[in-house]
Amino acid sequence: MHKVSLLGYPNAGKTSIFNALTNLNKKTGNFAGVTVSVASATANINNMQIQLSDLPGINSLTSFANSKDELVVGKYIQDNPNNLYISVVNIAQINKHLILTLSALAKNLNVMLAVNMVDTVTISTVQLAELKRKLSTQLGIDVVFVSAKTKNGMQDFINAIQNNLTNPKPITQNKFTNDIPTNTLLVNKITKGLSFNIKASYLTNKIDKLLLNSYLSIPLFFGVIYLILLATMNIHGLLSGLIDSVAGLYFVDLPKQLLGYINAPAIVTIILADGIGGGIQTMLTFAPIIFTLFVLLGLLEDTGYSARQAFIADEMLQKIGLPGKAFVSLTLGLGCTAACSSGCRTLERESDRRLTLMISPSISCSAKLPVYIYFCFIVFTAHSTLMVFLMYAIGIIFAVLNGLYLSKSLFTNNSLPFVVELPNYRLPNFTAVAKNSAQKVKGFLQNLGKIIIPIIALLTVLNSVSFKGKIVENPNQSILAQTSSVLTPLFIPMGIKTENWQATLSLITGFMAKEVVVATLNSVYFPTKEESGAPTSLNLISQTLAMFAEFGNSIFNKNYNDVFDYNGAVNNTLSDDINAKRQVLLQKFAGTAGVFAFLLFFVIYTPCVSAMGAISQEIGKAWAWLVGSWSVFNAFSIATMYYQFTLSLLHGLVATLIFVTIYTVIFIIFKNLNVKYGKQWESNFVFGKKTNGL
Amino acid sequence: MLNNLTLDSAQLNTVYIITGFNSNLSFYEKERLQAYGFVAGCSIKVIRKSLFGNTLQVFINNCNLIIRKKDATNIILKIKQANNYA
Repeated sequence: MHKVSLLGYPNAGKTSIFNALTNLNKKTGNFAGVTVSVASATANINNMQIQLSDLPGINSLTSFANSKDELVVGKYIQDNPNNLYISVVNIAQINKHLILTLSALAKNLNVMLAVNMVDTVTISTVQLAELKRKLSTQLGIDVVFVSAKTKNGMQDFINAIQNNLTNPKPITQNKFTNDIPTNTLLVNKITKGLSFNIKASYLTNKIDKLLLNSYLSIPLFFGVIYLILLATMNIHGLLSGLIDSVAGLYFVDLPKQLLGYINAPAIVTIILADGIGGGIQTMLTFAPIIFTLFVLLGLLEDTGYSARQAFIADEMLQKIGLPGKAFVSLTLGLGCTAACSSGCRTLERESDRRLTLMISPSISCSAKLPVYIYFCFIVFTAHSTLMVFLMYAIGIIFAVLNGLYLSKSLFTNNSLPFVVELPNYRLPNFTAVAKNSAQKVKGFLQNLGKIIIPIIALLTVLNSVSFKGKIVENPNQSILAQTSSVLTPLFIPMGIKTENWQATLSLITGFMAKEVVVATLNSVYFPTKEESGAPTSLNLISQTLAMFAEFGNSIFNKNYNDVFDYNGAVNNTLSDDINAKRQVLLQKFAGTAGVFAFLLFFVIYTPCVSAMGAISQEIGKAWAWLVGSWSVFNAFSIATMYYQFTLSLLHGLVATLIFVTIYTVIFIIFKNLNVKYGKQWESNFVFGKKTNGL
Repeated sequence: MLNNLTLDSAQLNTVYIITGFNSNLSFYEKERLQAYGFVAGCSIKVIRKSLFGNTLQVFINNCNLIIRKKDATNIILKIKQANNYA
């Protein structure tokens, strides 16, 4: 089968062409760095099957491949030198994009040129014809003009592909150079006299005058973040109860009843119903929040505002040694830390990815939100909204401080030139964004499920059996409880009492999945009779209908005045007796100080095991271990210092002194490691040859 | 009148020509800037600066790019013409 690959700058429209030729719905975006891996699919070119590959957008094919994208493309070209490479250029930026075409020709590749996005400019047909003639003559390759969006020119494009595959043009060896200034002169000669208007430019400039205004940009920026959070939380509040109930009915209660009918051993019921079923139930309840976040962030990206966020955020992020692009990854961390890891792939330097992921644990993901609401609503009822916002703010502030510390110690200050393209604004494609978000959530849940479900099943078993292997009636005697009891004294300095092993247990289960914390605490602090046995009878249809009816009532009878009140976000898992629950929690945690210290620990400590898996995939196991252990240490130190200050000033000062000393020692160790191994960690790849960094 | 200056100190909405790069720049760093379109002979215009001036938005090759001030100090310019923002 013939192999064809799409090559070009970021945002040139390669993926749109890929989707048009393969009829797929691969994600496109209005922000450089959307495609981060090679996607391949079969396409039909005039009844000829080809394998079409969409390569990530790159800025250069010259000597150094520094970003992961350039590494991926460089390696792909090395492994597939005989492919037909379609160099996709955006006509609006033809002078820049043709440089890459010339670089591809300098590598003696079989190239044809697709000048894309012709619909975005106003240009005369005479000029287009002249441009085509000059390009064909000077470059010696086939040139087509196409618009992937409007499908204009697609048939000519397909015919040209077929022609190049069946009658490939002879490659003139060594006719072109890889030297950018030389290529620029040639491109300028080709495009001399070319003039056109970019349709969206005028409107983009007008909008940017507002959104990038020196004084308005930052408040608008935070306002957008706030609205995203607000929408996410309200949707979660609306849907989580319904999903939790329905999932519980079908994945927990139903299996329990069926297993009861066949007199299955209790341990089997625990594993299958409470464990695996409970795991599925847990996972599904936060699907709406992930979906909402992906949709909202996807819409922002599709309009072109995400790149503006990088401009605004860079002012702040460069102080902690991160590029503005990292902001997108960190924003994704508000949804899920695993998504933050994936987003880091667009960062060029390995050290930027590592630094971003080392500060990401304290960025509160969506799964932490139910825990904040649980504690803040019960313990800090009158100020619950403010307290939830405070948790987010603390996480972000700590991430900044952490970044400052690490950028001065463990990571070098030398950074690549930071340049990001600001695309023109465009109307978002709601359908495409929704479809892509659904695919993302599906993939996310599938990957997450492989980790979360077995672990929750394991935890459920450990929470149900004793060390002697017998099923326990009293959860205090389970393996998990006993283990938590052994570990609990370690947390005394941060205000967890010895007898409050349930808090330690919740932190362990929280490592497995953050949203499990609420279920864990509810079940151990406030056990209910329903949880201890199988349901006596199930009427699936009527119960399901009743759940939807209740959901419908909640939608129509909801007081929409409280949409800006976080209290309205999630009430479904809480009973009416808030005062009684508050007394229990305050007694267990030694007052509000103990509760707040626990929350501080929770904000900062390690992400869940799924996120750690994603981090490990991104930066390697050793660095992932460092991320996990560093975040636990930070969480413990901050929570302890806070709690000790609430005991007395002397206690606080002693604790601070101890931790400042430890941090100083760690700083020196990190600095020495950086001096010794920093350049080794930053390795650049010349195609086929690994070299050291700058 | 032609003046040599660096991109970080360029005036807003004034068209300049890139003449070269800071001699302290490594070959690699220079190549990276060129890959983004900052090539000697190209016209460039600073559109806006961030609140504290540490990030610049520039217009080059029909494209809006953002670049950090510390990277902009490595790009040497000369004035082409004044106050020609369209």
